[in-house]
Amino acid sequence: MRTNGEDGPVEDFRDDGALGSLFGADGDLSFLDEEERGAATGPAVVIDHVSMVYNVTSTGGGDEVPVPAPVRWARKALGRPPVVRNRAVNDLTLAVHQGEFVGFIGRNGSGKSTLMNIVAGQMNPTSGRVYAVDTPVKLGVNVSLVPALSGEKNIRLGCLAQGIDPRRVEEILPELVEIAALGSAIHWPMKAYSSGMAARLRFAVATATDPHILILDEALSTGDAQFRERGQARMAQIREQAGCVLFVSHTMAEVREMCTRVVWLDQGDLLMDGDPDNVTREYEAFMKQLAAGNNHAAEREKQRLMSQVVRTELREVHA
Amino acid sequence: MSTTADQVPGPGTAGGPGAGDGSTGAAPATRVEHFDPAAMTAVGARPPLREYVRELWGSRHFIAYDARVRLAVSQDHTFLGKAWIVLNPVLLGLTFYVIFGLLLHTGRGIENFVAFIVLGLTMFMYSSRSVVAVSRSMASGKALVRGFMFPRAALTLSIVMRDALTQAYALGSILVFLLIVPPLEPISWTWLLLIPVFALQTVFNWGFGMLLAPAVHKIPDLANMLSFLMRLWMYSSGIFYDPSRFVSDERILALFHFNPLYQVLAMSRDLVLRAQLPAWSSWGVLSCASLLVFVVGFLAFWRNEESYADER
Repeated sequence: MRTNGEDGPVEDFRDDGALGSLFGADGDLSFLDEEERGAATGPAVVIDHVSMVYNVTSTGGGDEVPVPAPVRWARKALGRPPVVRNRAVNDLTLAVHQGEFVGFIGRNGSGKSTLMNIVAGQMNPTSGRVYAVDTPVKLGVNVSLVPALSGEKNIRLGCLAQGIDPRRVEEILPELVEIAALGSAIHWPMKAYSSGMAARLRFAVATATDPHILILDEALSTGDAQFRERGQARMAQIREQAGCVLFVSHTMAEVREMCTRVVWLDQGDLLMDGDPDNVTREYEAFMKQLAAGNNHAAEREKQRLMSQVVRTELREVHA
Repeated sequence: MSTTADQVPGPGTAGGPGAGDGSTGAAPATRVEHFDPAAMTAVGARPPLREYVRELWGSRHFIAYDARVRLAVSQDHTFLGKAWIVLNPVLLGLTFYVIFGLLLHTGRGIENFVAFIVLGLTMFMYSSRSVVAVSRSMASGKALVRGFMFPRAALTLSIVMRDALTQAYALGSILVFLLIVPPLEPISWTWLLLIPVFALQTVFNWGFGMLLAPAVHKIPDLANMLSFLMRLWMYSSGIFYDPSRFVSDERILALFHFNPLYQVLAMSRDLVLRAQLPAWSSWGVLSCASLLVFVVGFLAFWRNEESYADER
């Protein structure tokens, strides 16, 4: 049953690929400005064989990273714990086009946030490269600005840090204050903010530039219903401006509602990449297996999905 | 750039190496994407030097605002707040006045020993503070580095500017201190020449901090070492003594002469305490050292631009 359901989207994507290569992705161009056409003939973001391995100290188990014996002895003498490898992202290749709203789902520790950090240039991958037509702007839950500074000054600092001209900052400041919707708290130091309030402020800062490539790492999850609504409206606006959005979330309803494509990662591996309804359905079934303790069934399912996943192959063209 | 060149062999082959473990017989589908790496920018890649300098110039508003804001909030956790920017150097001066001016009455043959020490310390501590702060900037400014894409040298410059502003207040209050705490120093026009000395010292601090920053980022332990090295440097720059009185060996005197921070101390003492112009060779040593260290430091910092995003 499932296999049949799975076949549908696979066929679809084969078609997509063929069309894309034959007609030079003409469909993507219709909603772009003239000046952006040059850049838009290809994808907006290319994730080119990206792998990320963290070397972390571990109090359980021995060294996994080969180190020369003297280093190992020295480490032992100093009481430093051994270093193990944590593969966060495993040789991932993806291409995201203008106008796409890609959701990234997966269990905790599946490499979603790491991948977002890499795409945003906040972290270097162990191997591979990310290419983008514009600087990706990431809105994360842990981007902290200057805690001692008032919300308003933090907005100003964040805008200037993104290279916005000071006069323009003064122009857009009222609008950004409006988006943050913090009331009189906008004049308080940011360290007095609750996590939801801080999230609103960061959201306002990140949307200041009308980014072409926006990365949202559970950015809306800390907000209340009112903020979510505003946030979704603002994101719809950004999407209309021919931008693309990479979106991490654990709320499947949100993913289904907002995304045009969903990528499912599990322990750094790509399991599915396709239609939101299909992927979230499989994901929910998978999570149900895990919750019921059917680890073997879930593992078989993972192997099956990995063998069927539509992989992206990159070809370089030179203009 | 040519990372995908190796996987051109035909659209039918399995995409990534991970696809090899497929247990079912059916070959996995691949989606072919064409892209022109030359038309896109590699995220996080280091721009060419000229472009980098232009981007740095483009972020001047951010640098200025960040420096101002950092100075404004630097004492926010205290009750007196910004007053500490002026109080710190004054209290430093008073400490030495109590010990050497009131209790010991000793100057080891140096006229106005209190002023000699206080001025020297104020000048030297500016460098040690600023160099350490800049070298640690990639870790201390992690929130901004993580949050926004700007040339990382902008962060070092904003720290240098914050320290320079702090030092400007400190110098001002030390000069007032010298005018009101005995033995009184007569005011002189040569005090104005402290400004170029201060400017050259600032360039030196920035350059030296940038030179150390990549290494400190790779090996955080170096930051702990650095404060000791700066202290060693301080004591070997004639902070409590005048080397010409103790050292007769020409070679050791030459070591002092080519130490830019010794020159900063000697020149500022000439200008403020003796109202005389420093030797041309002193200006020469300080200018050349500052420019050289700055150019080397900036290039080293720029070369390692990508490494500041490495996970620590």
